[in-house]
Amino acid sequence: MRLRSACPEPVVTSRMRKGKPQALTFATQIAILLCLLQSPFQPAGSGTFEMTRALLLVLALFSTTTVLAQDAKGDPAEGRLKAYTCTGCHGITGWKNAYPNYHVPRIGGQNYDYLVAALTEYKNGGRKHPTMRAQGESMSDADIADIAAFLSNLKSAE
Amino acid sequence: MMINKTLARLALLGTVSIATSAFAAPPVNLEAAKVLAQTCQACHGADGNSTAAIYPRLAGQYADYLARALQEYRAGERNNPIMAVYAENLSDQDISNLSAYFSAMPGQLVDLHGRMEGQ
Repeated sequence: MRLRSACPEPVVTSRMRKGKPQALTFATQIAILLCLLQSPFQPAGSGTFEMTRALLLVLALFSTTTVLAQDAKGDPAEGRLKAYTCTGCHGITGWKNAYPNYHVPRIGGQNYDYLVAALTEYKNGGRKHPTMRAQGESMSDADIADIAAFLSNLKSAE
Repeated sequence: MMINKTLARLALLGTVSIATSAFAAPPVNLEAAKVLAQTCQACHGADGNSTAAIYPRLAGQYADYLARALQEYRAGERNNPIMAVYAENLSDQDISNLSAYFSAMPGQLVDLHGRMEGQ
Protein backbone atom coordinates (compact mmCIF):
# COMPACT_ATOMS: atom_id res chain seq x y z
CA MET A 1 0.00 0.00 0.00
CA ARG A 2 2.77 2.35 0.95
CA LEU A 3 4.61 1.56 -2.26
CA ARG A 4 1.51 2.27 -4.28
CA SER A 5 0.96 5.66 -2.74
CA ALA A 6 4.58 6.58 -3.35
CA CYS A 7 4.21 5.92 -7.06
CA PRO A 8 4.16 9.08 -9.12
CA GLU A 9 1.05 9.81 -11.11
CA PRO A 10 1.17 8.69 -14.72
CA VAL A 11 2.77 11.31 -16.88
CA VAL A 12 0.11 13.03 -18.98
CA THR A 13 1.48 15.78 -21.12
CA SER A 14 -0.68 18.67 -22.21
CA ARG A 15 -0.52 17.28 -25.74
CA MET A 16 -1.93 13.90 -24.69
CA ARG A 17 -4.76 15.61 -22.85
CA LYS A 18 -5.50 17.67 -25.90
CA GLY A 19 -5.70 14.62 -28.18
CA LYS A 20 -9.19 13.35 -27.42
CA PRO A 21 -11.20 16.56 -27.39
CA GLN A 22 -9.52 17.51 -30.62
CA ALA A 23 -10.63 14.26 -32.30
CA LEU A 24 -14.16 14.74 -30.96
CA THR A 25 -14.29 18.29 -32.19
CA PHE A 26 -13.16 17.17 -35.61
CA ALA A 27 -15.92 14.54 -35.77
CA THR A 28 -18.47 17.12 -34.66
CA GLN A 29 -17.27 19.49 -37.34
CA ILE A 30 -17.73 16.86 -40.05
CA ALA A 31 -21.25 16.12 -38.82
CA ILE A 32 -22.18 19.80 -38.73
CA LEU A 33 -20.76 20.41 -42.17
CA LEU A 34 -22.74 17.45 -43.54
CA CYS A 35 -25.91 18.93 -42.06
CA LEU A 36 -25.14 22.27 -43.67
CA LEU A 37 -24.43 20.66 -47.03
CA GLN A 38 -27.81 18.95 -47.03
CA SER A 39 -29.60 22.28 -46.68
CA PRO A 40 -30.51 22.83 -50.38
CA PHE A 41 -32.61 19.69 -50.26
CA GLN A 42 -34.65 20.86 -47.28
CA PRO A 43 -37.91 22.78 -47.76
CA ALA A 44 -37.12 26.48 -47.78
CA GLY A 45 -38.72 29.09 -45.56
CA SER A 46 -39.09 26.89 -42.49
CA GLY A 47 -38.31 29.12 -39.48
CA THR A 48 -37.24 26.28 -37.21
CA PHE A 49 -34.93 24.87 -39.85
CA GLU A 50 -33.30 28.26 -40.50
CA MET A 51 -32.72 28.70 -36.79
CA THR A 52 -31.16 25.26 -36.52
CA ARG A 53 -28.95 26.03 -39.50
CA ALA A 54 -27.77 29.27 -37.92
CA LEU A 55 -27.07 27.50 -34.66
CA LEU A 56 -25.11 24.78 -36.45
CA LEU A 57 -23.09 27.41 -38.32
CA VAL A 58 -22.17 29.11 -35.04
CA LEU A 59 -21.22 25.73 -33.58
CA ALA A 60 -19.07 24.91 -36.61
CA LEU A 61 -17.25 28.23 -36.37
CA PHE A 62 -16.73 27.81 -32.64
CA SER A 63 -15.33 24.29 -32.96
CA THR A 64 -12.98 25.42 -35.74
CA THR A 65 -11.52 28.20 -33.63
CA THR A 66 -11.14 25.78 -30.70
CA VAL A 67 -9.12 23.37 -32.84
CA LEU A 68 -6.95 26.18 -34.16
CA ALA A 69 -6.28 27.45 -30.65
CA GLN A 70 -5.27 23.99 -29.48
CA ASP A 71 -2.95 23.49 -32.42
CA ALA A 72 -1.39 26.93 -32.14
CA LYS A 73 1.80 26.17 -30.23
CA GLY A 74 3.82 23.57 -28.46
CA ASP A 75 4.51 23.54 -24.74
CA PRO A 76 7.58 25.64 -23.80
CA ALA A 77 8.06 23.77 -20.50
CA GLU A 78 8.24 20.44 -22.36
CA GLY A 79 10.44 22.11 -24.94
CA ARG A 80 12.94 23.21 -22.29
CA LEU A 81 13.57 19.56 -21.42
CA LYS A 82 13.60 18.37 -25.01
CA ALA A 83 15.99 21.13 -26.12
CA TYR A 84 18.77 19.87 -23.84
CA THR A 85 20.53 18.13 -26.77
CA CYS A 86 20.52 21.38 -28.75
CA THR A 87 22.85 23.03 -26.24
CA GLY A 88 25.65 20.68 -27.32
CA CYS A 89 26.18 22.99 -30.30
CA HIS A 90 23.74 25.91 -29.97
CA GLY A 91 24.60 26.50 -26.31
CA ILE A 92 28.26 27.33 -26.79
CA THR A 93 28.81 30.96 -27.70
CA GLY A 94 30.73 31.20 -30.96
CA TRP A 95 30.63 27.45 -31.67
CA LYS A 96 31.42 26.62 -35.28
CA ASN A 97 30.33 23.93 -37.66
CA ALA A 98 33.32 22.06 -39.08
CA TYR A 99 33.86 21.48 -42.82
CA PRO A 100 32.66 23.91 -43.95
CA ASN A 101 33.51 26.27 -41.16
CA TYR A 102 30.74 28.63 -40.08
CA HIS A 103 28.99 29.55 -36.85
CA VAL A 104 26.03 27.42 -35.80
CA PRO A 105 23.06 29.81 -35.78
CA ARG A 106 21.65 31.64 -32.80
CA ILE A 107 18.26 29.97 -32.38
CA GLY A 108 17.01 31.51 -29.12
CA GLY A 109 14.38 34.18 -29.79
CA GLN A 110 13.85 32.99 -33.36
CA ASN A 111 10.27 33.02 -34.70
CA TYR A 112 8.10 30.02 -33.78
CA ASP A 113 6.67 29.11 -37.18
CA TYR A 114 10.07 29.38 -38.84
CA LEU A 115 11.64 27.07 -36.23
CA VAL A 116 8.87 24.51 -36.80
CA ALA A 117 9.37 24.75 -40.58
CA ALA A 118 13.17 24.46 -40.33
CA LEU A 119 13.11 21.45 -37.99
CA THR A 120 10.47 19.77 -40.15
CA GLU A 121 12.67 20.29 -43.21
CA TYR A 122 15.63 18.66 -41.43
CA LYS A 123 13.30 15.83 -40.42
CA ASN A 124 12.01 15.17 -43.95
CA GLY A 125 15.28 15.82 -45.78
CA GLY A 126 14.44 19.22 -47.27
CA ARG A 127 17.58 20.48 -45.53
CA LYS A 128 20.68 18.33 -45.73
CA HIS A 129 22.87 19.17 -42.71
CA PRO A 130 23.83 15.67 -41.42
CA THR A 131 23.77 16.41 -37.68
CA MET A 132 20.54 18.36 -37.89
CA ARG A 133 18.95 15.71 -40.11
CA ALA A 134 19.74 13.07 -37.47
CA GLN A 135 18.24 15.30 -34.77
CA GLY A 136 15.16 16.08 -36.86
CA GLU A 137 14.53 12.44 -37.64
CA SER A 138 14.46 11.64 -33.93
CA MET A 139 11.75 14.26 -33.27
CA SER A 140 7.99 13.85 -33.47
CA ASP A 141 5.85 16.75 -34.67
CA ALA A 142 4.93 17.35 -31.02
CA ASP A 143 8.64 17.47 -30.05
CA ILE A 144 9.28 20.02 -32.79
CA ALA A 145 6.36 22.18 -31.64
CA ASP A 146 7.51 22.04 -28.00
CA ILE A 147 11.14 22.86 -28.82
CA ALA A 148 10.09 25.71 -31.12
CA ALA A 149 7.79 27.09 -28.38
CA PHE A 150 10.65 27.07 -25.86
CA LEU A 151 13.23 28.60 -28.22
CA SER A 152 10.95 31.32 -29.57
CA ASN A 153 10.17 32.44 -26.01
CA LEU A 154 13.83 33.21 -25.26
CA LYS A 155 14.83 36.84 -25.57
CA SER A 156 18.20 38.55 -25.35
CA ALA A 157 16.89 40.82 -22.59
CA GLU A 158 16.01 37.92 -20.25
CA MET B 1 74.78 33.90 -44.73
CA MET B 2 72.76 36.23 -42.53
CA ILE B 3 71.36 38.04 -45.56
CA ASN B 4 70.41 34.76 -47.21
CA LYS B 5 68.46 33.70 -44.13
CA THR B 6 66.64 37.00 -43.99
CA LEU B 7 65.79 36.75 -47.67
CA ALA B 8 64.49 33.23 -47.18
CA ARG B 9 62.32 34.40 -44.30
CA LEU B 10 60.96 37.28 -46.34
CA ALA B 11 60.15 34.94 -49.22
CA LEU B 12 58.35 32.61 -46.85
CA LEU B 13 56.39 35.47 -45.35
CA GLY B 14 55.44 36.64 -48.83
CA THR B 15 54.16 33.19 -49.79
CA VAL B 16 52.11 32.96 -46.61
CA SER B 17 50.53 36.38 -47.07
CA ILE B 18 49.68 35.66 -50.72
CA ALA B 19 48.13 32.33 -49.68
CA THR B 20 46.12 34.02 -46.92
CA SER B 21 44.80 36.80 -49.13
CA ALA B 22 43.70 34.27 -51.75
CA PHE B 23 41.37 32.64 -49.24
CA ALA B 24 40.19 35.76 -47.44
CA ALA B 25 36.59 36.85 -48.01
CA PRO B 26 36.14 39.84 -50.31
CA PRO B 27 35.71 43.18 -48.51
CA VAL B 28 32.12 43.88 -47.55
CA ASN B 29 30.21 46.66 -49.32
CA LEU B 30 27.38 47.74 -47.02
CA GLU B 31 26.13 50.43 -49.40
CA ALA B 32 25.55 47.82 -52.08
CA ALA B 33 23.85 45.60 -49.49
CA LYS B 34 21.46 48.40 -48.55
CA VAL B 35 20.04 48.45 -52.08
CA LEU B 36 19.84 44.67 -52.44
CA ALA B 37 18.34 44.23 -48.96
CA GLN B 38 15.16 46.05 -49.91
CA THR B 39 13.85 42.84 -51.46
CA CYS B 40 14.60 40.85 -48.30
CA GLN B 41 12.98 43.45 -46.07
CA ALA B 42 9.50 42.84 -47.47
CA CYS B 43 9.38 39.57 -45.56
CA HIS B 44 12.25 39.75 -43.05
CA GLY B 45 11.37 43.23 -41.77
CA ALA B 46 13.02 46.59 -42.38
CA ASP B 47 15.21 46.05 -39.31
CA GLY B 48 15.74 42.32 -39.94
CA ASN B 49 13.33 41.39 -37.15
CA SER B 50 10.50 39.75 -39.04
CA THR B 51 7.18 40.01 -37.25
CA ALA B 52 5.58 37.39 -39.52
CA ALA B 53 6.46 34.23 -37.61
CA ILE B 54 7.00 32.04 -40.66
CA TYR B 55 10.00 34.17 -41.74
CA PRO B 56 13.19 33.99 -39.69
CA ARG B 57 14.68 36.93 -37.87
CA LEU B 58 18.01 37.83 -39.48
CA ALA B 59 19.09 40.71 -37.24
CA GLY B 60 22.04 39.75 -35.07
CA GLN B 61 22.45 36.32 -36.66
CA TYR B 62 26.03 35.22 -37.37
CA ALA B 63 27.04 36.59 -40.78
CA ASP B 64 28.77 33.38 -41.84
CA TYR B 65 25.64 31.35 -41.02
CA LEU B 66 23.47 33.72 -43.07
CA ALA B 67 25.95 33.41 -45.94
CA ARG B 68 25.89 29.63 -45.68
CA ALA B 69 22.08 29.59 -45.73
CA LEU B 70 21.98 31.81 -48.84
CA GLN B 71 24.55 29.59 -50.56
CA GLU B 72 22.42 26.55 -49.77
CA TYR B 73 19.27 28.20 -51.13
CA ARG B 74 21.20 29.22 -54.25
CA ALA B 75 22.54 25.70 -54.76
CA GLY B 76 19.13 24.11 -54.13
CA GLU B 77 20.45 22.34 -51.05
CA ARG B 78 17.60 23.85 -49.07
CA ASN B 79 14.19 23.35 -50.61
CA ASN B 80 12.39 26.64 -50.35
CA PRO B 81 10.62 27.90 -53.46
CA ILE B 82 10.60 31.54 -52.29
CA MET B 83 14.24 31.72 -51.25
CA ALA B 84 15.37 29.72 -54.28
CA VAL B 85 14.06 32.50 -56.53
CA TYR B 86 15.79 35.29 -54.62
CA ALA B 87 19.08 33.49 -53.99
CA GLU B 88 19.41 32.25 -57.56
CA ASN B 89 20.91 35.45 -58.93
CA LEU B 90 23.07 36.44 -55.96
CA SER B 91 26.84 36.52 -56.48
CA ASP B 92 29.27 35.50 -53.74
CA GLN B 93 29.91 39.20 -53.19
CA ASP B 94 26.15 39.91 -52.87
CA ILE B 95 25.82 37.11 -50.31
CA SER B 96 28.75 38.38 -48.32
CA ASN B 97 27.38 41.95 -48.39
CA LEU B 98 23.83 40.99 -47.39
CA SER B 99 24.99 38.67 -44.61
CA ALA B 100 27.16 41.36 -43.04
CA TYR B 101 24.37 43.92 -43.40
CA PHE B 102 21.69 41.91 -41.56
CA SER B 103 24.11 40.47 -39.02
CA ALA B 104 25.05 43.98 -37.90
CA MET B 105 21.43 44.92 -37.14
CA PRO B 106 20.40 44.80 -33.48
CA GLY B 107 18.07 41.90 -32.67
CA GLN B 108 16.87 39.50 -30.02
CA LEU B 109 18.57 36.30 -31.19
CA VAL B 110 20.63 34.46 -28.57
CA ASP B 111 22.48 31.19 -28.23
CA LEU B 112 21.35 28.77 -25.52
CA HIS B 113 24.23 29.37 -23.15
CA GLY B 114 22.84 29.68 -19.62
CA ARG B 115 19.25 29.26 -20.81
CA MET B 116 18.64 25.67 -19.77
CA GLU B 117 17.78 23.90 -16.53
CA GLY B 118 20.55 24.05 -13.94
CA GLN B 119 22.65 26.63 -15.78
